[in-house]
Formats: sequence, C-alpha cells, structure tokens
Amino acid sequence: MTVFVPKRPRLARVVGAVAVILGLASCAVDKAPQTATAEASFSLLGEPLGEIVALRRLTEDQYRNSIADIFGPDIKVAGRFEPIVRPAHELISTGAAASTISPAGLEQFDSMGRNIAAQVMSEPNRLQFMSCVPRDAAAPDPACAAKMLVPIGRYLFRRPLTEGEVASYVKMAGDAVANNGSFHGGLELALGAMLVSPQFLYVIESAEPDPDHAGGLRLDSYSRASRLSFLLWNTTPNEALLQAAASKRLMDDAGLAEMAQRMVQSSRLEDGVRAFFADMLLFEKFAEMAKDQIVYPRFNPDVAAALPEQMLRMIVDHLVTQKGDYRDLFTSRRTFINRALGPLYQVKVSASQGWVPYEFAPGDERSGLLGQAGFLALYSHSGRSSPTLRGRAIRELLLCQPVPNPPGNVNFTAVQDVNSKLMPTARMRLDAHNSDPVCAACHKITDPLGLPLEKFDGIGASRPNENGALINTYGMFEGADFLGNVGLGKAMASSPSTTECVAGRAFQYATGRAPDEEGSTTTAIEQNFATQGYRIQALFLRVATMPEAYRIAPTPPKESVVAMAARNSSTMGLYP
Amino acid sequence: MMTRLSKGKWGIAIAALPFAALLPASTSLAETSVLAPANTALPAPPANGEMGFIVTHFAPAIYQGEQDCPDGAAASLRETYLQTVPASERIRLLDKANEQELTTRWQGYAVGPNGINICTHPDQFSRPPQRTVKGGVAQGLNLDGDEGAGDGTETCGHDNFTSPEGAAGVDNQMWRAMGCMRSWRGVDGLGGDIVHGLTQFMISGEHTQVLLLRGVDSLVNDPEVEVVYANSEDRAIIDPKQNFIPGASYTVVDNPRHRNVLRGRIVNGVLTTTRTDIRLRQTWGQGSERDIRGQRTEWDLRRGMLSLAFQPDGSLKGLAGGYQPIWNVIASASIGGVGAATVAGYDCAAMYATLKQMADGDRDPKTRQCTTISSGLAMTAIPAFINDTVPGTQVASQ
Amino acid sequence: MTTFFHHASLAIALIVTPATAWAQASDLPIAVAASDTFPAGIGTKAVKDGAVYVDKRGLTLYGMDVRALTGRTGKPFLFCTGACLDSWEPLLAPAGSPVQPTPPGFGGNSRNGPRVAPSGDWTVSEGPQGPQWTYKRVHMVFTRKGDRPGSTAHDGEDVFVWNTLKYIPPAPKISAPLSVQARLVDGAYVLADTQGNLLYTMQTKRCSAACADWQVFPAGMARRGVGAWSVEQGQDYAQWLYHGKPVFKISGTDPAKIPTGGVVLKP
Repeated sequence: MTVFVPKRPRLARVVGAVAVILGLASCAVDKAPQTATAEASFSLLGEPLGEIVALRRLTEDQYRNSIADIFGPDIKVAGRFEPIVRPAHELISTGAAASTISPAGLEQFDSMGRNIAAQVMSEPNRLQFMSCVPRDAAAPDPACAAKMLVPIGRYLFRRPLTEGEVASYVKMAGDAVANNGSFHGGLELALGAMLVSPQFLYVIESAEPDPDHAGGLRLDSYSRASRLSFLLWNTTPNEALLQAAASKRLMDDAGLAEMAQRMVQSSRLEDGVRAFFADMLLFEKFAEMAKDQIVYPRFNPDVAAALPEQMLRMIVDHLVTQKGDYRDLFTSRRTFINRALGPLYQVKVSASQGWVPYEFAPGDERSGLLGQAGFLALYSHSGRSSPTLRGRAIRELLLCQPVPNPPGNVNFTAVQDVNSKLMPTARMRLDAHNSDPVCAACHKITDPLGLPLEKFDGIGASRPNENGALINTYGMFEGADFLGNVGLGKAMASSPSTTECVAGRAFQYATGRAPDEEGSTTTAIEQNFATQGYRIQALFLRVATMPEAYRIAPTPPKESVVAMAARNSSTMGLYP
Repeated sequence: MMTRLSKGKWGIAIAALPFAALLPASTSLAETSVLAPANTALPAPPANGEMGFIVTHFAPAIYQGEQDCPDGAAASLRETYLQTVPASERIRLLDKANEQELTTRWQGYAVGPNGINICTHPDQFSRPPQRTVKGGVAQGLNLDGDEGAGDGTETCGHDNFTSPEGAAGVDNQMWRAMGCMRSWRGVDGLGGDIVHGLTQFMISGEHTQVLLLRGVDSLVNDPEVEVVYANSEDRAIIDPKQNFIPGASYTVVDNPRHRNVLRGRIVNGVLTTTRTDIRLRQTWGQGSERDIRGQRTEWDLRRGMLSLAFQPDGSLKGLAGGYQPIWNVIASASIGGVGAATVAGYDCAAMYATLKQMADGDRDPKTRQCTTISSGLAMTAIPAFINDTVPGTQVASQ
Repeated sequence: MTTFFHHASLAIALIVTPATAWAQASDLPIAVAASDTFPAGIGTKAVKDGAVYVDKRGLTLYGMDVRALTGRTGKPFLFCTGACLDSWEPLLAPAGSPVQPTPPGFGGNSRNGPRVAPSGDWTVSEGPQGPQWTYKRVHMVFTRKGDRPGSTAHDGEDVFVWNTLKYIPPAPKISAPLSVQARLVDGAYVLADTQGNLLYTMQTKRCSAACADWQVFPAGMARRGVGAWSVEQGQDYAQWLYHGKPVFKISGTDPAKIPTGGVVLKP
C-alpha cells in the first residue's frame, strides 16, 4: 500500500504509515534544466529541508480553505473528496496521519487540481496572478514561468520551493509548450501538478536536531507555521506566518507564543474550533445518517444538512464569539435555526433564508449541546431513538470513556419492539433487555446518560410521551441523579471528566498523538484550562504553544517505514 | 377609515401551540369540501392571540349532487362539434374508419381566423353555452346578503343554492356554470383536474397562501379578529407523501397588493370575515422562479369573504368566496391556448358564453351586463408560523 | 380593467424569446438599459421612485407587456385596439423603420419574412396604428391619454400588463478584481462582490478598533493588484485595498447593514 513512486525515490525516515499513490513520475527530473537561470525570484529558495516526522492529509475543509486563501474565494473547488478513515476512538486528525489516497481518490484530486489551475490561468484571471509577460506567448519563458510558480509554490507547499522543485516545475511548463503551443497552457499544467503533489495534499512536518535535547528532534520553522495555521484556523499559513517562519521567530517559545496569542484572538479561530468539534463529535457520520420517512415524515435532506451546521454554529458562537466557558456549552439556551429546522423544533423562524439566532425559553427542555436535534438524531436508529447510542456517544466523545462493543450473540428483540403495548417506553424495553446480566454490564454505563434524553425522538423532535405512556427521564451520572436533558446538561457541566476530555482531545488534535502517551502533559493542559475559566482560546493557545508538542521523541517509529521521496536533497530531482 | 385593533396582546412572545402534537401531517383532498362546525372541544388560543396557518388547499368547492346534470356532463369540444353537423354526417364521422377525419374536423373547430382559438380568445367566437348545474345544493357562501334572486342595480338575477348543511342563499354561479364539466366535477367525491392542478401548484410551491389571525381570545366565540390573508414567497415544506408539514415558517410577501387585511369574528367555532376585496397572486406552471413568463394571474375576489371552522386538530376548514371577473374562471384553459381545446378537449367558447350568461355581479351600467360571477372555493389550512411584513398592522376600510 | 383583448386585430412584432431580465413590472427587478442614448424624441425624467422614459412632451412612457398578455390569454395576443386606444396612445416610430416580425413565442409565424437583427433596447413593431416603438422586445410603447408629465399613476395596471418604462442607467465599466462588480442600489451604482454582497471601507483614514469585527473582503494571497485595487497581506487575511483603504463586505445588498464608520464603495 506504499506506492509513492517517483523516478528516483530516496528513502527517508517517515513516521506513520504513509501511502500515497501518485502518478506523476514524469514530473521528476534528473537535473535542473539549463534554461532556468538564477534570478531574484529564486531568492525564496529554502535551505535543505529537515527530516519528515509526520504527514497529515489535508481534510476537505483544509483543502477548500487553502485554495480560497491562496487564490481567492472566487476560485471554485469542484469535486468529491475521499474521506479520511477515523481510527477507532480517535480523531480524524490522527487518521489523517495515516491516510492513504486511493487511485480513485487521486483521480479526484487530479481533476480538482486541473480545474483550479484552469481557472487561475484563464484569460481574464491570470493577469491577477502574473507579474510578468512572456516574451512570446507561444514559446517557453523559464524566467517568467518561475516568477509565477515560485511565489505560488511557496503558498501551496507552505515553504519556499527547493531549487530542484523550481527547476522541475519550470521545465514541466516549458515542455508543455512544445505540445500545446501556449506558454500559459504550460503554466497551467505545472500549477495543476503542484496541486496534486503530496507536498500540497499532505501537511508534511519535518524536524531538525533539538539543541536542548541531545539526540532528539524538534519541528522546524515552516512546520511550526503550518501547525499553528491548521490547528487554529484550519487553513494554510498566510504571509505573516510564512515570514515568521522564514525569520525563525517561531523557533523560540516567546515568538511562537506571540504569534499563537494573536491567532487565537482572531475571528478566524472559528474555523479552527469548527474543525476540531466536527472531528471530536464524529460529524462525518451525518453524511450517512438515514431516517425512516414513514416514522419521521418531517425529516428530509434539508433538515439533514442543517443539523450539523446548527451544532457547529451553536458551539462556535458560545466558545469563540461569546468567549464562553466550555462547561456552559451543556446548559446554554442559545442556538441558531433556519427555515428547514423550524418544523422539527416547532418554533417560528424569522428569516426565509439563512440562519438566525434563537434562544429557548428558560425552563425549556431544549438546552445545551445535547439538546440539539443533530446530536439526538445522529445517535438514534433510523426509526427510533436510542438511549444506548446516545449514552455511549456521551461517554466516548464527550467524556473520553470508551464503552465496549456488545457481544455478538445478543438478543435485541425486546428493545426493538417499539410498538409494544406491554413495554411502551424505551426504558421499559431496556429494563427487559437488561434482565440479561451480560447486557446489563454495559447498559448501566450508557443508559443512565441516554434515558434522560428520551423526550426527544429519533430525529431529535420533542415528544410528550411514547406510545401514549409518560416518559421517565430519570438519569444518574457520577453518583448524582437528575431528570431530563436539563439535568443531564448540568451534570455534564459540573463533571471534571467533561473538561479533561476536551483538553485531551485538543492535544491529540494538535499533535496527532494520543494523549495516553503523555499523561502528565494532559494533566497540565487541563489545569491550565481550569485556571483560564475553561475558555477555548486558552485551551487552543496552550496546545498550540506547549514545547512538548514540538518535540519529537528520539524513539524509533512504531509503524513501518514507507517509501517517500527525499526532501532533504537540496539540488536533485525531487518529486514535485 | 383605518382602525387600529386595540384588543391585541401580541407584545409578549410566547410559544405557540405545539402544532405537531395537534395535527397529523396529512390533509387529503377528500377532506376539504365540507364546512364542518367545530363540534368537539377546541383548544385555547395561544396567550398572545396570534395564530398562523399555511393554506393547503384552495380550489373550486365541489358538491356532487345526483340530480345536478340530468342531461349528462358538459360536452367536450368533439361532442359540441358533432352537434353542429347533420345527423347522417354525424353517423358517418363516428364510424371508426373516419376517426382521423373527425379529429381533424373537431380540432379545426377550435380555431378561428388569423390564428386565434377558442381558449385564448373565447370572446371572439359565438358559440352556444354548455350544460349547467340544475341541482339546488352546492357549496358556497351568501355573498350578496340576499336569499332571493338578487336582481339589483349592481347584481344580476340568479338562482341561489342551498348549502349541504341547509343554509339558504348560497351564491355560486361559477359552480352553476362550470359544475357539469368533468374537469371540475370529478367523480366519487373527489374534484376534477382543476382541483388537483391548483392543489399541486401549492404543494410544489409555485404559489403559497398564508393566514395570520391576530387578537384571538377564543376559538369558539370572539367578536373581533384581524385576519391577514396573503401570499408568501416561501415554498411549502412538505413531507415525502406531499403532505404539508405543520409548524413551518412563512413570511408574508412585501407587495401590499397581495397582503389582504380582513376583519373577522368567531361564532361557534367558525371564523367569518366581513366582505372585502381580496387579491392574491396565482402562479401557473412549474418554473423555478416566480417571474412574469406569461404564467401569472391574480385571484380577484371582489367583496370576498372567508368562512373557516376551527378543527380540533388545529386546522382550519371551510370556504372562501367572492365575485370573480369571468375571464379569471377560465384562466388556466385560456393560458393553455389551443392545446386546451385540441388536447384536453375544452370548449372554452362555450365556457365563456355560459359564464357570461350566469354572471351575477358588478353590473356594467352601460351595457347592463354583469361582469363578475359569484364563486365558492374550498379552503383548508394547517398551523404554521407566519412572519408578517408590516409591523403595527392596520385594518383597511371596507 | 382595460379590455384591450375584446377587440380583435392581430398580433405584432417582437423578436426574441422573452426573458426575465426584461421585466419592467414594478414588483420585479428592473433590467438595466443597454445604452444611455435613445431614439430621437425619447428621453428620461426623474420621478418619485427613480427615473422613467418620457416622450418629447415629457409624458411617461408605458410598456404593454406582451408576456403578461400571452400569460393571461395564451397565444397569439390581441393588441391594443378599439376601446383600449381611447386610453392609450402608441408611440409611433419614424415612417419606414424596419419592422420586427412577431416571434413564434408570442404567436407569430416564423415564416413572416426576414428577421431584423435587433440592436439595443429599442426596436420597431407593427402596431395598431403603424410602426410603433417596442422596448426590450416585449414592451409595446404607449403614453396614457390625458396624462400629465411626471405622472406614473397607471404603473402595474391590469395585473402588470401596463408598466411604466423605468430607466436604469447602464453599469459603468470598472477596472477591478474579477470578484468585484458594479451593482445598482437605490438608483446608484456601488461596488459589490460577485454574489452581490456590498463592499465598503472606512470613512476615516485609519481603521478604528470598531472595524476589528468587520468582515474582510479577502483577496487570495497570490493575487496581484489591478487598477485602484491592491492586495494587503494582513495579519489575518490577504485583503483587497481600494485606493489604499481596506475593503470589507456585508452579507446582502442592504446599505443599512454597513456598520457605523463604514462607507460603501463607489465605482
């Protein structure tokens, strides 16, 4: 599965199972073309690059945000993104570190890249990207080609291009002129190739020897810029970050902290926080959520599309815009709503288009993150609610307490009989199911957290009763008992497990490393989080600046080393 | 004279009725035609006195009396044409071998000089009227306040119907004129194509009507209620079976022309509005934009009124009525043009002649001819949230 | 209601398929004029809600919307004759003007002679009293008999068959990033992004603390300037500058949403 095949591959130390299938072998060149002369535009070339210590494939949002930031929001990204596989009980960001791109997925990236390149190089657009005019529009002009490709390449690869890279892309552009007779067509080809290069599709973290820890490594300057940018803003480093990287300001703790401090205060933190929670709460599952339309006629594609967005808007508004306490996320009555969601919530939506803020009345059962229809619907079955799925999601995602899978031979008859007259409510059916002690062992972990949410059906709509029977919303958590979603929200807000979990997840999200590898680190993060009033800015600032996150332990990687083109070659034909 | 309603309590926003709990998400056409007085306990209105509804059905009110059309349904154009030829020729044309010739000839009967046709320009053809409803029972409202023949300076004489519930003085000359047409009358309690078509336009969101009641203190008896009856640009939110979903939000159109403010009262669970001119937009066709691509007309219900009964499930069911310009009654056939005649077989010229003959409103002082026709329309509505566009709504003078 | 269709005489002159952009009905967006020069005898005049075309007497020009007619009655339409002409007066074109045949879209016959290539907004159709001006292919031009200059009293009459011919000057040519367009708001051209969101900058030379929350109009880091536009590589975004001042945007086209201290960009 490791099929990254440049013409002259060199082995490098790579952490993680990197498997990139790319069919761009023809891009590699053996030596720099003679026609490419050194001039001012080459001054951005970097020093020899460090050792690759981690790679993370760009997520769809990161790709889209990068293109918009580099080329402008009017350049469209059209295509389907191959999903990144999530490792069990972990974050997608961790999965991205081991993500492969299949041939079909690569085809998509190739098509998107060509499409973007075509837009950028289209007749009216290209004048806004080019600082030179070719001597002859039908002939190669390496100097002019380099003038365009060098700065754009720096943005795309998040670091200056190497001489070899410049040479190979300039040559590619020049060679193409012979085929299509157009200088601009050649540039388009070269730009398309950059967009499908692993240097763009993967955030490649490289390291240099750590002077403070003999034998150890630390992330190099440009890797730090990328780390900050993708963590905090979910996008590619901007000019300010790249310049800070070039000046090595990010290599000292104070410089790094100054930059991160400014970034967490920016409204762009919204994008970082969105991406983090979409990852932490398994939002990719929304794409495959299906509901029985006989049981839930109010559920339709518009509702399905609005549910995750509503949750993210609520989260971002509370944590970033309002700078709220993370614990209050579980009790807040503020959310956002659009017209599609109106019938589900049975509330008046004041705008025909778009989203509007909405605040539930005091005492309304509908409060907090767990009262959002998105959470309730996602952790339900297609035709019925599920206290067990909801309880499990709360345990695993919000409290970081993994729940074992059920054994293979369970009899689910009782719980699935949703029309039972003898057992009209889910609580009664689960009680019957749990007469089997094997089942009861796990259900007592999940159900006391899911049953309080039973006044919301399988799409998260309120219901006063189930099969005509009153719904008992009693629940218990960490020894305290309570009623309903409001009680559950308060219990979640007051539990240290809630804040410890998000702190650990944030570290994992920032570094791609599981927090159990560094127990003392997470404790320190959690303590800092508490001191700062559980503000998300403080948490993100902490995980973005803690020196441990930038240190690479001198232990050999656990997983197999795979082939990857050398980046520490300064002059030779490097795979673009 | 503009009068500000003073009894409203709408300053406080309070959660409205839990619509979904009140109403199953289904409203079938078969249920639409009866004005049933509320006979079981009605819920209390919301504390702020404000209730919104989305209209789910608005089409000619159908009543299939057994003796309505003793001579059979109104003739199709083919049948009409055959009546114009001698009996021997008729027999020859009806021979299956001559079907093609007959088709050519009756379709040619739809067309006049210079490319005009009987549906686009029915007034340009002199053709006999069609069969009309002879029965004495039909749905509708007493629009002229008179249980007699109603011949007056502004109205023309007509035979009143009695409602299925026994109310006298029902004015519905539109039904008298059109109720023997198969495309109106339908079968087995279900309306014909005109009813299905109009309903489909609402489901597809081609046009949307909403109601907003203000100042409601009781669903049983309330002497003064304000009714905003308007179009909305928002498309209906429906379920996979094309039932309207209760509790959706709609915003009233900006154009005040299609925002009618009516004054009403509730007696024994039935909301009735005072006669006022009502204008609503009607969009014909399935285009994605509500533009003027030749498919826009208006409902022009002069001296129109609503009579809607509150139902225990939270919905409204009843009738709308008013005097329509006769051309508007055949708007869909007219827009259909020659195809309405040659494909659907409509004899629009006969329809027009009948409507003109039956017209009972807005007598032209010069010609003494009535120009509008009393019309009864069935209407149902289910709870919705309505955003009004005009704050501090005022009641228009009558 | 004007009963123009009660008097037979047949259809006329319009050349191409109707399109939304040509609407003049007052409840729909009004199309921009193709040019700011008009045929002799036609001018413009400011009225209550903007400007309308007028004849040499200063009387407001009305368009009889052929689409509204065919929408009402199907095709072909019958134009204004008889009693209709008691109220409406056709705006006649110079004798000998080339006449556009009626397009099939309005019930015309495509075999009715050669099509005259239309240019601009003003073409000539066969009307009830001879060759008559037609605006944007679908509005047969009339004045109201007994009207006074400046009156627009009959706008929208008869379910938008009769509409004043509203004049909106053509958009100015701009040298700007491709993501910028001129957009007409409240009768004047301002700058917006290609989604129609209005662009603005601050009134003062420097941005106060208040504009920290303003929504940046982003440029793309790799973009270069054009005309009065340049790119500033800011701390958060690469941002467009217009005449050296940072550009922001609002969501939508309502100038009232521009925050205090902001001023809309003008071409």
